[in-house]
Amino acid sequence: MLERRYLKYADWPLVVVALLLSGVGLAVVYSATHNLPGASSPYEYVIRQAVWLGVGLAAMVLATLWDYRVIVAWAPYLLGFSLLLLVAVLVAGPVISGARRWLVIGPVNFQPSELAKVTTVVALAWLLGRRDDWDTFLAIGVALGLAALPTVLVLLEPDLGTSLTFVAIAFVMLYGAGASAWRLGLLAGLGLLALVAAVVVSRLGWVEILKDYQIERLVVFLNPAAAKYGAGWNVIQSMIAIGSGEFFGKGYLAGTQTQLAFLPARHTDFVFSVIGEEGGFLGASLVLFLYFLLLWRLLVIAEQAKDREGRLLALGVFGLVFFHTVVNIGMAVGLLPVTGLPLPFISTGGTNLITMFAGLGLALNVSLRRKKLLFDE
Amino acid sequence: MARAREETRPVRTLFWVAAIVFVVLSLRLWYLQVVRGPHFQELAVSNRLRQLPIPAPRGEILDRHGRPLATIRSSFTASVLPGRFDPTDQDLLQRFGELIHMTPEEILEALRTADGYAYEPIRIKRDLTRAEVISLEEHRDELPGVLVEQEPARTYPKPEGALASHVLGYLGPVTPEQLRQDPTYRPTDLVGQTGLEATYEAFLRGRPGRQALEVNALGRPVQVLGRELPIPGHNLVLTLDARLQAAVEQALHAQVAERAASSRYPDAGGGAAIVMDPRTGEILAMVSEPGFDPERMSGRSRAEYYAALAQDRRLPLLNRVTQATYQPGSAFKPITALAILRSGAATPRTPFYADGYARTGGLVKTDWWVPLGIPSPGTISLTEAITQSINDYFWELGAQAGIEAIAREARAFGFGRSTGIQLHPGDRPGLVPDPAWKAQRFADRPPGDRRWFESETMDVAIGQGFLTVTPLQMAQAFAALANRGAYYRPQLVREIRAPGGEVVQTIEPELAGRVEAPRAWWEAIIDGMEGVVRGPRGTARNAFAGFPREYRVAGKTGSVEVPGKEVHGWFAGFAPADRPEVVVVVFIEHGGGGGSTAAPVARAIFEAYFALQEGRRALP
Repeated sequence: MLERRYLKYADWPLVVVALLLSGVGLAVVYSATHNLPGASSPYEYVIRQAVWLGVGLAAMVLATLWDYRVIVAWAPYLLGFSLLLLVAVLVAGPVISGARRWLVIGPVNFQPSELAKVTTVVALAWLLGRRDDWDTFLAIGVALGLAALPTVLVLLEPDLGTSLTFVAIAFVMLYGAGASAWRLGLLAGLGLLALVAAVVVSRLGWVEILKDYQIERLVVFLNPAAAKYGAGWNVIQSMIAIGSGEFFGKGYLAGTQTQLAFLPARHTDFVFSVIGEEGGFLGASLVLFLYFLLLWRLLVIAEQAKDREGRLLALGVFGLVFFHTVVNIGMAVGLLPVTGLPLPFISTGGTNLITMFAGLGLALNVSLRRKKLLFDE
Repeated sequence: MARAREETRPVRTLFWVAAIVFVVLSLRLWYLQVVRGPHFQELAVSNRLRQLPIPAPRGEILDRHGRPLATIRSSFTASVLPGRFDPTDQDLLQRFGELIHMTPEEILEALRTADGYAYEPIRIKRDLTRAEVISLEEHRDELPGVLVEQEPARTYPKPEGALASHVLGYLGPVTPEQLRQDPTYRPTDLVGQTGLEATYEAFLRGRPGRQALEVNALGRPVQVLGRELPIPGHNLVLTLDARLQAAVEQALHAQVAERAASSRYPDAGGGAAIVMDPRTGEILAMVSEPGFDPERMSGRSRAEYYAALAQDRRLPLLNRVTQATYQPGSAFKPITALAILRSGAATPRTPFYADGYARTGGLVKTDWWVPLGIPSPGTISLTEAITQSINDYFWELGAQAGIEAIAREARAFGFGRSTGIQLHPGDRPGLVPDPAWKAQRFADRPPGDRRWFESETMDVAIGQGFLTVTPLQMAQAFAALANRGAYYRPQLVREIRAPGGEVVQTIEPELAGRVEAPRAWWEAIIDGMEGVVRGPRGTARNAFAGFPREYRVAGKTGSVEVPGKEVHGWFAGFAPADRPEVVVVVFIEHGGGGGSTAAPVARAIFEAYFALQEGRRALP
């Protein structure tokens, strides 16, 4: 019974596009890492990524096994659990490059902030499904208050980029739940203004007020990658990599920026620059198109969902993937500041890959059960 | 149904939002890759983009009052860019070599040290003279791939003339091994190879910056595309007092040089001295003689200087304070005394008649004063035995106490293991011998050689035989005597400070051990040690003649028999006896007995210490 339902009602285009992106990811990761110093073999990173991909697919299937309404009903526990892990990270996580982001459990390094992304989507679907009218500042404030829990905990790690993800998800889902654009826009504008003010103040301090070590801390806080490679340097190298790819690209494994190690973080933050350099405009826009297809399928699932929770779940996953993709690519092409968010399905990193596939699993769950009568066994 | 449609409207809006964002990203890609593509292509492929490191200034090393012992100055280095410099071009090598006064072979040799590193400039010659810099700049267009780097270089201001060479250590080129372990080093970097420069390398080195330059066809920078400033290293605040360090260096050097100049002491030339605060383990001065000039170790004539030092038979690169082990001689007697008291072989008041001879297993040991014609001290107690350094007392009663008791006492005072001082390359443990050790050490010998003999116990009782210690351990043990039991891990660094001045680490005193004993025992021993300095038969009375009594120096001399050579001399002591605030240990190699050679240096050190203390107290 179950199998037939999967074959018939699963959103196969979504799965196929995600697998295509993951395939591109494996190829690009190989190109970016096969001559990385310190690796035990040229395949070390690819193999690890492939293993994570397998785990990610399993997580996707797992997320479809229970009716999403059941999963949404578990929301308080799921969110509570992941908040607990976020607190644990702050207390017991090892400090790596000046931040606590990881929990080390045996051989596995695990980033609880990634799990929190999915559970926050579920929790917001649960909360927003509980009433109809979300178009008041008070109601919006309540929903943002829920999103603020993981936001603040992740901000303390500190990891600004990831913490903003929760805010972005909350805005998308609130909009989907009926909050009006002008209210959300006003709040977003105010928030942005506060952020800009913080940056401007720090830039002023750059010249005179702050001491060296304070500046360093600030830079690390606003921009963790800067501590590792230098703020201006990596963006310049990324733009040179992408630009020099020109229309047709330099060819697979033939990017000089990538292969000669000019490009920093080329298998994580700046993985898109490898695509741009070796694949050119053709390759890069093809990948962009794949992301657009994926996002479009998520919106289709949202539209066809049989109820509010389903629609909100799919929209949350849409927000998750959209925000990551745009912020990462925007950073690589020099339009957005460096925040260190990974490119979904392509950047190395197991926890993020699993998170993304688990998110897709939730969306698939919604699409599988979109016909009311047929699927209640 | 109308409701549902109402709710799907946001979904459609989001679709258009996403579409617009993706169009913007595509346009940006079009702009970068198609409109500006050729420009970026040129930057990437042609010689127009240079990525150059900006070396980080190394952290400073300051004495406890903030006087710089090691700091930085600006310097110029001639480097070449691999891939842009053609080492097969003989003309180029010739021209370049003439300008920096090197032969083409020397340039090629320098290039070889950085084989396999293709992206960092390779330093060919450091510390260019002004004339060399100017001529390189003038001929720049004829020297493709050559660049002049401005970089901060280590310099040692030698406040008050203090070198502190073995404490600071020296910088040397990064080794291939270090490069492999830490790829953030650049070949030809100078890194700390010994001393604090090595121990705190990670703090001192800072992080180099980088700059991206767009250059024209001649290699001249056209514009800076991006720059990451280097982060200076952390600064170390030491426990050393530069002024005291200078005084100790001077006093020790003068004595060692005087002995070495005399034909009576053909093997003299080495020595060690250490001044420590027993209340914290802080080292105020540490000197190993002869020293070296750390600046010359990293300068342009480093190779010649290093070769000269390495060949010097006085071993100037050896830190005798931590790396050399010697027998402590009679300076060990206070520790034996405590072992004797603890074993019950004697109380502080037990009378002992010293006839000058000890017999064991058919062997007769003769005390040092017998051949000199000095009359027997007669019946003495522990205190006098220490003051007059009567071997007889320690032979007989040490043998009664037994080797195990003496070895246990020695270990309680920290002998036989390293002190844990944070100073590369660490300190040696020395040796506290006992029967088990001997059986194992000589396991391949006949049984007779493996057995422990009473005469060997007697040797150890007076600080000879198999027993060896470092001067640093002696300071630690005398700190324990001074404190009546407690001693702290010797430390050289008080604070590590970030470049902005913020203290990132404070090294607190760390209790390293405690010797438990009744007050009366300590006082009996320390009374004897005060007698050494001011008693009528004290072994250091001549050296301390006229020394102000109110400072109450307590100490012990030692003279170590060395077969076929002149004796080593020790003086170890502290002051004031009732409330000790300073421990002084002086050791002089092959320069005569402790009372005549080490004690005068110790006196000079105590004088310098109290003069500085008084001077400081007089300040408002």
